[in-house]
Amino acid sequence: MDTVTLNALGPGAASAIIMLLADARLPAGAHVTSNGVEAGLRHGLVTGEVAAYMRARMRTVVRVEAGTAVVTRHALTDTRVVDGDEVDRGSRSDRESSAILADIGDEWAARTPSPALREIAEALGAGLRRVAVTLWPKLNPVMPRRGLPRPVVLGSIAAAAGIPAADLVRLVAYDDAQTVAAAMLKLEPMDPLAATGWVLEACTAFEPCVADLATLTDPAAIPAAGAPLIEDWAEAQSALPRRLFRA
Amino acid sequence: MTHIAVERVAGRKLPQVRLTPGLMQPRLISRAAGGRAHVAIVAGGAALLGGDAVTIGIRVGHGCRLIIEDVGGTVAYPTNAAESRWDVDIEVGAAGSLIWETYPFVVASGARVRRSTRVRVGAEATVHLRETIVLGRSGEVGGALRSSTDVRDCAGRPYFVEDLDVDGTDPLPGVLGSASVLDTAMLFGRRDEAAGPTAGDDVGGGTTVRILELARPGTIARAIGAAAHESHVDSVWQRWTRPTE
Repeated sequence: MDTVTLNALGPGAASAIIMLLADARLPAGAHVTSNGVEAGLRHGLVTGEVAAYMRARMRTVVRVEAGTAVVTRHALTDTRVVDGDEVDRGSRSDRESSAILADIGDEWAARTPSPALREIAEALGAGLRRVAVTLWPKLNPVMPRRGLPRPVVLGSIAAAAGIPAADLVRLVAYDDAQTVAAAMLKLEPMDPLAATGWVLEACTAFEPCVADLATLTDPAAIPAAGAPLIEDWAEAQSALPRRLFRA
Repeated sequence: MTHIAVERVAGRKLPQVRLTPGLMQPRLISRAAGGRAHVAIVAGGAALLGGDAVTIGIRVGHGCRLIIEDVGGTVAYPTNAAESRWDVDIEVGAAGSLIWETYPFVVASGARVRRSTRVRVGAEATVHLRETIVLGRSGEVGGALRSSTDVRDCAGRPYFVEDLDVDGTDPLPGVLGSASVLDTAMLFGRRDEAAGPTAGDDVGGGTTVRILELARPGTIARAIGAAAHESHVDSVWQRWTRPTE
């Protein structure tokens, strides 16, 4: 796959695209998830623990999602840097790229035992895929229409748009915490600025992990940090007849 | 290293069972035609002390059926020294089956333990495992446990990969929260046909057993709670291991 950037944006393209992907106004359907906080609040999580919940997600699900995105980005980026030299591995056929994405998807799914969490990730992936194939048509034949979880789509966009791996990791982390914060404001009356502070704290606590995650290349080495209660809550949430968020 | 291997031998009715003792001692309970064997595991001494490294290898040959039964639970004791290790490596050959019946693994306050469970599931094979983790003896918050599980088929395609990192002195909301018991039954190679995709079995005591259907044929059943006698997956485990074996 060629490295495609939105040429009109010039050298700042990657930064602009990161901002676009982190923006809740991007029409990708991400507003349907609370990242488990709605279910958590029904199962004993209290408002005062939500900052710690964001940090716990940084140590568990965020590592899995960010690792999946980084490995996808690596797999779809043809030009690699080896010992400081750029090495061109030649272009891969779309079919080969699809097969690699399927393998990465299998590794992600094995780290996501909750069917409810897999389902929401694939729904969010489908929403983001529509953005991806519109802005980067070359991604269309590489990405199957169904069954791609959001981090695989995000990693594909990062490859196409030239987003650096470390920034991709930070994007996954920021988006995860901000999703919890935005949902909290709809679920519990609280000071919006306090929630914003939690997001920054969680991102700061996560920063020491960024460099290691950014170097991942092997799908089998994607982190597998489990969070049994988050999985349990996701299953409970999926069966609720009345809820504000799907997940 | 403790080793348990069962194999069919051409021309013989009963399977060959090879048992090698380590910190854990395997004992043959019975063998039967059709490649069946039943083995018990007893602790060779006071396990699990700081610096102890238990290694258990299990090989189930083509078409064999092995049942392993632990004779008691395990307590990981407090340590000022090195962490203790509990490493299990399982390979089940084509059309084989393994049931490993275990008791709670208790991580006492002050203990530091690393567990790893690696499983390779052959074609048409089924594997049933149980892992009951209890943080703390009575009145304790419990120590630190890192437990990694990596289950794949012979081609390396994954069924279930999980690294659990818990510490009774640093409970994380969303991981185990204030719960001290995580009981898990794992089935690989086939699905739990009796359960719907997100069915919860109420086992009383306010605990719900959550049934997680994996993306590939396999099911994880979990109960998370405050005490082992009320947060358990016994009913699911019995459904999986009793009827057809």
